[in-house]
Amino acid sequence: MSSGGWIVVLAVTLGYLLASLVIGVLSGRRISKGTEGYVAGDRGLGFISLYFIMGASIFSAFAFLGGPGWAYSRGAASFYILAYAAVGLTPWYFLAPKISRLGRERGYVTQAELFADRFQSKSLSAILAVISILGFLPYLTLQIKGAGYVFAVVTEGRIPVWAGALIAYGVVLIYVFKSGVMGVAWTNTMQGVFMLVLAWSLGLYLPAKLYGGVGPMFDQLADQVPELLRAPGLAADGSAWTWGGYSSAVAISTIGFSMWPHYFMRIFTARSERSLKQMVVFYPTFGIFLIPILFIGFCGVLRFPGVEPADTILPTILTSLDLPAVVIGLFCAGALAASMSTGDALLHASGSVLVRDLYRVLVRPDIDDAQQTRFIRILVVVIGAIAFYFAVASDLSLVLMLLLSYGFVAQIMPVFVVTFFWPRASRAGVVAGLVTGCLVTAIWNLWPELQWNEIHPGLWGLAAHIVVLFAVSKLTRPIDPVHTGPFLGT
Amino acid sequence: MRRARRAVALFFLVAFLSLIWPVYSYFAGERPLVLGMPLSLFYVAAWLVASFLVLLGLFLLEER
Repeated sequence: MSSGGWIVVLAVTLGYLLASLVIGVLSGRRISKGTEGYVAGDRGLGFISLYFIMGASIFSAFAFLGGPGWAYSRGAASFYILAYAAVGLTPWYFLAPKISRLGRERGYVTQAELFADRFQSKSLSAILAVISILGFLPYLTLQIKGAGYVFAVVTEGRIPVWAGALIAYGVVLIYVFKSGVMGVAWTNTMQGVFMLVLAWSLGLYLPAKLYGGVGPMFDQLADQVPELLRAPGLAADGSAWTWGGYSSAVAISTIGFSMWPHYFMRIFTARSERSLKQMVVFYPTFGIFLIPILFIGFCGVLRFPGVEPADTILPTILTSLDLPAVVIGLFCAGALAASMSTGDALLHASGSVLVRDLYRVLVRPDIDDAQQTRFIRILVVVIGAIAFYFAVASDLSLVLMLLLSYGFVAQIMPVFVVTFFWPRASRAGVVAGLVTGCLVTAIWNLWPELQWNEIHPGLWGLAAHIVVLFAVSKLTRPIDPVHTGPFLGT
Repeated sequence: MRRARRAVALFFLVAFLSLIWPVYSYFAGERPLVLGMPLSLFYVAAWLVASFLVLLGLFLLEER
């Protein structure tokens, strides 16, 4: 890039941020003032918004920077992202319309409200809220960090990581605070379109420029580094990854994916059952859009060996190709879009879950709707500040927290299944199962010597969870069939 | 309609099992290149496209 080019790059990036801010703030004008409006968008989101709000979540900072990084350093291991995008959301096709209907009838706006109502349990609500927050915080922190790095790279260090993170997430905070889920939905639509265009143009342009096309690129790679392209690819240390590690990563992601509380809440934002189904049908197309993102990483293998850390492979290629500053600016804006479109949803969900599922349930059942919304807004700012602190000032290991959170979130799946299919499941059974599952997951994470064939700790947690859920339910009193009827009937 | 829904649910179970060990290990090689992609990638991408088409088919059937 020519000297002074960074000013153009910065201008393009700031232009994108301004557009996000305007769209985000304006989008909240027409929603009602209560939690139904702020958290569930008055249950009025159509197919397009739902599609992008869910799609943007897979295009997180992980996919945009981490995806090429994985393809570059671990090769075929990165295909696991595509595998879970293919099947992960399918349970929703069959059950989301019913969940949406129940939500409308019984006033749910969060995931825990559904389960707590089904099992008549305040502790279930509180446990789910804690799992959610434990899952959200490391992800949010990672997104904020990602945004900070983007600024630092494009301005060649003139804007430090903390300031970049502050600018990007300042914008996010403003539109989430003002517009709630509508701000998330409309900015995600814009960010989603933008990322798709960018992913495809870069993913096809770079192999063409560096190798003469995607086919010739893989041809050379298959000759020179066949082990990289052979599934299950490589482990983080460069040795061959095991099938146990790969398969259980696919399994835990597939099981956990549709259970993430901030995705799950989107079911309650849908305008109709039809728009929900359409969204699930088209969801795998986002997985297809990820393929060119992986091409970018593979591009670097032969032409740019030894890049550390691997996540910087995309910026490294871009800055070394002598591209016009505007193109690099667009890439930076795209990377910011990926980070922000995930971070905003996490931030919004954290505030909503803490107020609706923890504070309202355990501390103040009488809190009125307007106060709840006010309180959610305050918490959005507080959580943003905490995650910002972790992102720029703390050395806390995010890796362990991320591993834990995926294992924890997958533990929600058995609760989901028995909610709709097993009348005999009791309150004590569900709570005991969930707690056991999380504990076993944590133990297997903390003591790696318990590992066997690199099977993901969350799967051991699930096994223990299911046994305990079944046994305790059989030993305790089931929930009154009159109450469970609407959940179990078709 | 119920049968169609069951068949699709079964398809997704098969898809999931096909994307992990042991089935995937038979399609895990770097060659042949299909549509320019190594077999290991094409195989996963093909399931992705198939998942989309199957669910789209069920949706259109239910819409009728």
